[in-house]
Amino acid sequence: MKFIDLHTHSILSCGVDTQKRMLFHAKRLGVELGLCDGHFREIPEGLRGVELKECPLGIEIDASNKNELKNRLAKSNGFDYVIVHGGDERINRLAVSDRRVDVLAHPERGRKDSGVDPFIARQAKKNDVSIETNLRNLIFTRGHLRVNALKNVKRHLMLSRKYGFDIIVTSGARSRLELRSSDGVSQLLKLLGFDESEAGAAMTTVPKAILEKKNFGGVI
Amino acid sequence: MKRLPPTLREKKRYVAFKVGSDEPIIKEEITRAIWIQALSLLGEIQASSLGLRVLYYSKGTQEGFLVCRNEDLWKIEAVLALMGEINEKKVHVCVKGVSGTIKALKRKFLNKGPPIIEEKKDDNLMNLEIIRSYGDCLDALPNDKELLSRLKDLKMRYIGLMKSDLGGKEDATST
Repeated sequence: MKFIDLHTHSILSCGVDTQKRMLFHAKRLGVELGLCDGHFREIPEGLRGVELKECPLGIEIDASNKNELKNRLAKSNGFDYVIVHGGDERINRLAVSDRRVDVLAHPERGRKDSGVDPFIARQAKKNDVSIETNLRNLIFTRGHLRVNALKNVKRHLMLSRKYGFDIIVTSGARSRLELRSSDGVSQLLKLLGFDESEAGAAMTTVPKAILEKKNFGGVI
Repeated sequence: MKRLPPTLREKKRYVAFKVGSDEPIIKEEITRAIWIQALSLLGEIQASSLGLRVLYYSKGTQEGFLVCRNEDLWKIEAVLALMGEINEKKVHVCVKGVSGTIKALKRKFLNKGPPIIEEKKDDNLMNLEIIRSYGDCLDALPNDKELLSRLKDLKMRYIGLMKSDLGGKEDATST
């Protein structure tokens, strides 16, 4: 199964590699990439890069309140997919209640629980919003922090089996060294308790469906 | 001590891997890091049954291979996928291939990439200093403060770009 990684950043957002360099490494690892570069920041003129047609371009919305989220969602037209930074309970609930949102990213950020309760699970299923499992939380943590991250993944999986919402796996990569290969991710998901069909859905089917929803016309 | 007959021996697989990093990694570092990762992820009981041993690693090409039990190959792949840092250096360990014999492994997977060429030159247009290149890839040191702080946060030394990125805006129309 091919890994379609929709949460990666190039130098145009908060990463350190150009879009072409990220795509080059992704191709070598057998991964399809979606670059989450919707929020451009000030960087040197020469490194602004080019708008790549072969790769989907998403936007990541980091809002602190309801109005900000609504305003930024209204401006998100034209991107191939929309990711909302989770963490705050109100933002988690608002994100899964809005059909314009495709992915709720790390709902557990800054929390002691997994950030997904039965209400959020039901709304995510109803509005077709996927809940993200970000591998960054597992790769760059140690000890009790990694234990908590593993616990959250297992809780999301349990709730997904009960309520039927989709889980999407992403690397959250900000550099070429943070990308992961399809084989590595699939074996990791097996270790985390995903069965083969669940791993296939999280790695391939769900991200593909998100891109098809917005009629992405690229190669994926 | 007499060796076990072939039918009683455990089946082995040799895994070729490549370490990607901005700074060179030596064999002791990678061996220790793989073991620590396996112990932390799988625990002592499962790690003891892996039959894991790093047999070869070249500091120059940053490639090597390890041996493990056939049944536990998937666990080794998961362990390698989870490796992100070694001694505060950002790394990426990629499995290049798996084989049943060392001879086939060397022939198929090792020493296949382009050589790393150390070169130092300034690119005034993009405000950065090219440090090294391999194939079409370039690693560079930016002069921009924000990019330098990003690199520091990510525990990396260089930003990555392609030779075609140096074309700047003219190249935009062609892609």
